[in-house]
Amino acid sequence: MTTESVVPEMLHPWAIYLQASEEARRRGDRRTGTDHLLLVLLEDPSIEVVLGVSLQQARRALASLDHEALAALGLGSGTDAPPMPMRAVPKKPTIRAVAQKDRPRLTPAAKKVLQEAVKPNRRKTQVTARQVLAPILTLQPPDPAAVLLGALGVNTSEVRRRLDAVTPDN
Amino acid sequence: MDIDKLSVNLSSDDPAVGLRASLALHRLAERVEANHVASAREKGWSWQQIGDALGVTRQSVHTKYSKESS
Repeated sequence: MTTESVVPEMLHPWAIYLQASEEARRRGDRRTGTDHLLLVLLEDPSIEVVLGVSLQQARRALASLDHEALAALGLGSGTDAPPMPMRAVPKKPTIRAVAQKDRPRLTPAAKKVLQEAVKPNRRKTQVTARQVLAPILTLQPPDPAAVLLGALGVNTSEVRRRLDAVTPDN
Repeated sequence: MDIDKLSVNLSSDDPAVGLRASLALHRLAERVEANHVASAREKGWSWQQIGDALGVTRQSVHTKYSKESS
């Protein structure tokens, strides 16, 4: 079996949102942003390969971006607090879990990413990690995901070219 | 850190850094709060006491944090 014939795992956009909202909560964010969506995609080993970075590297990069920004205010590197523990989210998302009051809502940009990702699909409840990655790669700084990819040294136009070569359709 | 220095640095002219710093401060404050709510619970504080300290109702701290400390 070649790698091309592997069927990509279908994810529910809500499941991606729920996991991303836990990434947001972990850091103390009020909103679930494009950067958090990107972190969730990195849980997929094939996305790690495509981007050439790991989830841990991405989380560390976000922490150091924060340290740099705080240092610009004159707050030293000792100014920090550990991240919050992540809670388990249901694999099969329910409307109740999605509507939970303490969950950080999606930012408008993150919402647009998920909408773009499901657009070509007949079933809007199924999406692949790559389909979500595609609109994220088109974002420009100061969008948080674009800033993160920049900090990680990912060449987004190069990755896009490679992904387009693999999937000639749409 | 002295206040004079902070106010000088706040006028740093790169909005990308400044806006990020503002969010980073918020994230930091949230994590400080969460960690200290957890430690207050361990020390036997009631949700009412924690709510009083934070200036919010007992219910709102409970809704926000009960799932972590259980």
